Amino acid sequence: MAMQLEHEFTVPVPVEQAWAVLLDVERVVPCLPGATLDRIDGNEFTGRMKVKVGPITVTYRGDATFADIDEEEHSLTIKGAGKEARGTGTASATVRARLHPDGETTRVTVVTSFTVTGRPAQVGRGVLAEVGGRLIDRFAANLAQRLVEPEQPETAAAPETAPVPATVESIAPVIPLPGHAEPERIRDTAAEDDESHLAYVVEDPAGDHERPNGARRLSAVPTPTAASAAPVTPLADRRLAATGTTRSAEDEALDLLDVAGVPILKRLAPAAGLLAALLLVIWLVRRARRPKT
Amino acid sequence: MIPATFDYVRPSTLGEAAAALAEAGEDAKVLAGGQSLLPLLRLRLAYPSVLVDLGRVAELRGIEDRGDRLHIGAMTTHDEVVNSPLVNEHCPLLARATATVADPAIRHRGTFGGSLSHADPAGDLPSVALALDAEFRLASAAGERTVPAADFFADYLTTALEPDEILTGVSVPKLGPDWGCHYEKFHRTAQAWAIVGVAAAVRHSGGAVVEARIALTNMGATPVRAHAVESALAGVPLNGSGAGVREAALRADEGTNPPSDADAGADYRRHLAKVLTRRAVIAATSG
Amino acid sequence: MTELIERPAPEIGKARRRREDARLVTGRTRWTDNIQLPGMLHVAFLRSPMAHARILRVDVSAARELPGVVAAFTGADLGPEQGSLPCAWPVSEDVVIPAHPPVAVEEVRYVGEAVACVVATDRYRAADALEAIEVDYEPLDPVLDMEAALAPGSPGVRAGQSNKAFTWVFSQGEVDAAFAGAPVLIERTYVQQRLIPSAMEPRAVVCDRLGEDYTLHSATQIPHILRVMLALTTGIPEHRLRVIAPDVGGGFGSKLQVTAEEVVCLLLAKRLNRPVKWTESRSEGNLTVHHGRDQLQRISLAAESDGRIRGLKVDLLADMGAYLMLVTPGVPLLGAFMFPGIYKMAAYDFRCTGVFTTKMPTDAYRGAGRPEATFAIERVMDELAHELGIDPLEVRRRNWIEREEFPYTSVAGLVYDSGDYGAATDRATELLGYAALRAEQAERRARRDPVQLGIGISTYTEMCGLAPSRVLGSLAYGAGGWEHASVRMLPTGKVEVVTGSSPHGQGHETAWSQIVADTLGVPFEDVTVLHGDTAISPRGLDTYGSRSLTVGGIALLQACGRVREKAKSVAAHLLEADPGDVDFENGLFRVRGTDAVRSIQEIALAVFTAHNLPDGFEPRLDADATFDPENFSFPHGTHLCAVEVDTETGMSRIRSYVAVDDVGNVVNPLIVEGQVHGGIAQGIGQALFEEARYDEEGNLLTSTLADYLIPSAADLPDFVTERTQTPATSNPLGVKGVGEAGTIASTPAVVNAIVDALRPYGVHDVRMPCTPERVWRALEESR
Repeated sequence: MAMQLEHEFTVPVPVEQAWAVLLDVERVVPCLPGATLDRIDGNEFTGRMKVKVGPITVTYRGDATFADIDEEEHSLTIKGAGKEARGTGTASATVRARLHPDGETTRVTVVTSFTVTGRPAQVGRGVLAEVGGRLIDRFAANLAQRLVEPEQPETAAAPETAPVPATVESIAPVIPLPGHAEPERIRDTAAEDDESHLAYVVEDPAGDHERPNGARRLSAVPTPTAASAAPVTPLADRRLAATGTTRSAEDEALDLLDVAGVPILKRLAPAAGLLAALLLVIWLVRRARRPKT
Repeated sequence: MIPATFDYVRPSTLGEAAAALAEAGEDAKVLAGGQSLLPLLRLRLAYPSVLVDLGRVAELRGIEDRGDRLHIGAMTTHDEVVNSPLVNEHCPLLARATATVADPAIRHRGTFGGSLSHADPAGDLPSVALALDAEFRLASAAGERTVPAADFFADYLTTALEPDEILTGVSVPKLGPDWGCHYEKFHRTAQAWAIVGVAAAVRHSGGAVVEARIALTNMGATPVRAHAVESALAGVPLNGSGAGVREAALRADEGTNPPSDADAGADYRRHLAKVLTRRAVIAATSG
Repeated sequence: MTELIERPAPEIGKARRRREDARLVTGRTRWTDNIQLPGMLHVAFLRSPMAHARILRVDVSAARELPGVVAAFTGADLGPEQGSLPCAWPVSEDVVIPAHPPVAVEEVRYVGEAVACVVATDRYRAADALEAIEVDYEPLDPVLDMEAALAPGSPGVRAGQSNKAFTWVFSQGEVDAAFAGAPVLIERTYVQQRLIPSAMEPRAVVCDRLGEDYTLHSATQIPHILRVMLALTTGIPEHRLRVIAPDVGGGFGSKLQVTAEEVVCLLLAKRLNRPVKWTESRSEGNLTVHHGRDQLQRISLAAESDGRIRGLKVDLLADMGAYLMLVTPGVPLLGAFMFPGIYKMAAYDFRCTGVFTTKMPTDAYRGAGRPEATFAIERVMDELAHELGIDPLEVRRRNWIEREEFPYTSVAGLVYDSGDYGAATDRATELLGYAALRAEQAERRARRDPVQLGIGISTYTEMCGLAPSRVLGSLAYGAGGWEHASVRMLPTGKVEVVTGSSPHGQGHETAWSQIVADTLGVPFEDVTVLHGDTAISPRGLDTYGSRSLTVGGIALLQACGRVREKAKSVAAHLLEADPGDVDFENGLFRVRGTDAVRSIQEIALAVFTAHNLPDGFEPRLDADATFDPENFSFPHGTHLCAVEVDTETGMSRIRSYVAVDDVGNVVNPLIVEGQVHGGIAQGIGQALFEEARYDEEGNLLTSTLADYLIPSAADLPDFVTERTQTPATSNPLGVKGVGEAGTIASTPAVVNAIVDALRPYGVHDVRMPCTPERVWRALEESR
């Protein structure tokens, strides 16, 4: 299965600042959800990537290279190839990123193509297209966020939030369980603190989300708090933050679909609209998915 | 194919099951009827460390009348749902949709809760649960909570269930005699998944629609509630040319994001959603 | 011997339920996977995820260290000993037969090709160990489209070599003259999609070694051919090799093969000196059971303005896949002779180019060449009718061979011995209610009913009873087409039959018992039929091509006749009569005009005791016979169906289906009925549901039965089946064969019906499978 995706967004930093980030393997690689760096050797590195969708888990091990680095053009290509840790399948990807200076901001274009073989490619119903597309979307969105960060990203602490994306309408009595005499968790609707984070909003106007031909528009909307208190959580997804995958090379799968947290996004959409006038940064991720199959 | 090694736990109470799951960590999976999970294991697309088999947890099985709602235990098989007098009387939409799931062998093994927890957008029951505003009872070693259908289905194969949580049952509202219902499933063979499905419950009186609940199968990563159709249908006359229903149904793809896959392109799914919604509403309101 | 069928035959013609079904249906039988041998090891294959790649490294060392793993081998480890999988049909002078190691050594050329194998103490450990094998591939360009593969500059399936496997041509009559100035010219291109034979029993192999002797059990259609081929491939002497096809659960041609797994299991048993077993999973099978069909057909038909055919041209591209397997290149040739169908024409030109691609090799699949040909000619006949504005039945009537014209030599050179196309068609139109359906169709068209009605027609013939050995020789096939049977009376009067035709679901045990019961006058229950074991049945050419009854059944009939004649000489001796005065009826030998009688059972005992036999009579009551047919047999029939097409959704629903088949005389009508029903279902599968899909990288997307849709009873209408009967003249039973007829006939009937329904919308073709989406898109494009 082969697929190509294109993303374009603008970040409010000068091109040289963004370029320094883009050249930093340790900062770019974790933008790929589920990716973990094992070893870095100049522009070459090895790592793992765990892709998890509901009950489906595929882990790849492989190498990647930063190639074709063009200081003039501010462009580079990341070429990666991996094999399933437990199966016979392979995955390979080429990411071509280019920074275009635009005053004090930088326009970023990312063209990603990837191919997958083996069992994940041999089951139908487009599971892989679904997953692959989201994975690259997330990579681009994370990269966009990463590029606006100052030089010391490790202070980006994961905010404490409730781990449940769904609205809870009642708090039920606890089932008496051995060793669990008391409720250990109290869950709440817990949407109040969303405003303190950068929101990741799917704008879903009717008719503007046709795939594969239409473009889906994603907006990452920082709130005033977030914008003034950088570094920020990359996406207003509490589970993403809670798992620590916000930048750390952690051997944890990022559950791609889990983090999308659709119910949260739905709830956040109106709030984001009200805050639009206060936006300091807006970026648009244009997505043109061209599945070749 | 042959599944990879996993540990297997077969508790006999919900408490034991929740404790086993809490202990097993996030790579554990709950095994209900196994009709979706086992194929993934056999293909080695899933590598759970532990399977917690709910097959012996009797308290999770059965259908109860709870006043204005029915409670359906998660381990109730599809076949039991199809043949339940309570479901057929108070929630015929569920009985009819369940009767279209796969084939008799699978309906005898597969469970209501397993199907919902798997949250396959091409599965028939998630859209029915969404249309009915079903309430999902979730339990873990720490406690219980209730999640409405609109929040339960989070994404492709993904629900509000935490790794240590078990869906214990689902409560659906009884619909009165003024409600008609229909599940319109479009699939290539009897055993195939729905390319598109439409779950429709319509309350009508005096020859006009009073209220409609419509949800779509396989029109996105989760089941989708066709809100635009529902509001457009309110007050629409049911006798006469049928133009009102036809027009309302044309809004069926609003707010959807259907996949393009080997079965169908997204544009075809959008078209089908409109046609099938019209048919579902007509079927729900006639006879 | 023809008198047999002219006198009352209590068994032949009786709709007996199949005696083998209870054990087959319950599975409590000798499926290969049910076999458990002491100390048996289990084999698993590591398969390529790449459609085309150079193998840089295969490292099985970590797998070898895992608990329970006994051995692991790469292709290089197996070395020259693994040989090359055989192709027995070098169809032309220019054919290229590439080396085909059972486990790939240097390159992989389709997804699923084996690159290593593991032998472990159980299936689970073997499968786990595959995960520890490391393979480095250097990806090469996949070759997936036949036309692109033949274009200059295309990547090669083999570097530096053309992707053309062979060209085979046939021409008869003045083709150019037939087309020059023809009033009507129809040119069409049809795609025969790739199909995956889906036998209910997966493939399985068990191989055991005892000293220098090997016993290989395989779920195969061809134990006899397999034995020869394994001996030639591996160098294990043929006489040291016993091949057993125990009960086999379907094949449809997919088990007419010498597979990599069979060869490797044999080598593993040899190297490890322990029994080994391999059973495929369904997803493994979808990748690596040889596939079927996959042709691109360009067909041109020239006709007079009254619809009479002047000539036919066919230019075929046939996808071979990555290698030529047992009869891969021969499959389209079997179709070459059938494109003219039942029609008279003076000129015919056929050209076939075999093309290599980086996909699973294709080979025989139910009908093998004939369904493809029948589809193309029957589709084109409908196009001709549409072009001329006449009824598609009428255009066929104007062209088909009349009853009085048999025997008739077709333009392709086949001698059709018997048939009555008019009788079958008349009966089918009557059963369908053709006229009433045409009226309903007109009415629906007039009121623009969103659900349109189409009527599909398929008037087919096929060549069965493969095959006269001399014909196979002239086509460069590597074996003959005869069949063998032996019959022995046991001392207690029971009968043991050995057939060389190895059944895999056809009901041989029942049908053969019926023939024996009538011929020897013994009760049906007193007959047993042994098959599928080269030690028990040393001679045979197995089961494919609707040949069992038409060839093997005749060998059986002849062997029974010889036993009966032997018994008669003993009876005459005991009755002190001249053999010429002894009649045989219902198992009794009677001296004409007297009450002196001996039963055949008494004769059997007398031969066993040998106390009083004619001078020089060997004390054995048995006989062998080998039958080599002089001609093919030619079943034919008319299949009609009515399909409702929902023009809003594109969904096609078969409303009624009528099949009137002429398979000659019938031994067991119930078996014939079963073959027709299953065959129709399988042909409908091609028309509506089935397609092996590869993506642009060469990944097979339909590796499970959730993605490769096959119809179940729930998806099919009731079939109305009847028969007309014109006995075959080429064999004494007058039988024609029925194993493939339904599949050959039904596919064009269904597609013709769908197109017929859509004609008012300007749709004149829908590519198979005619999915709702394809129908909808065809409608959208023409709206």
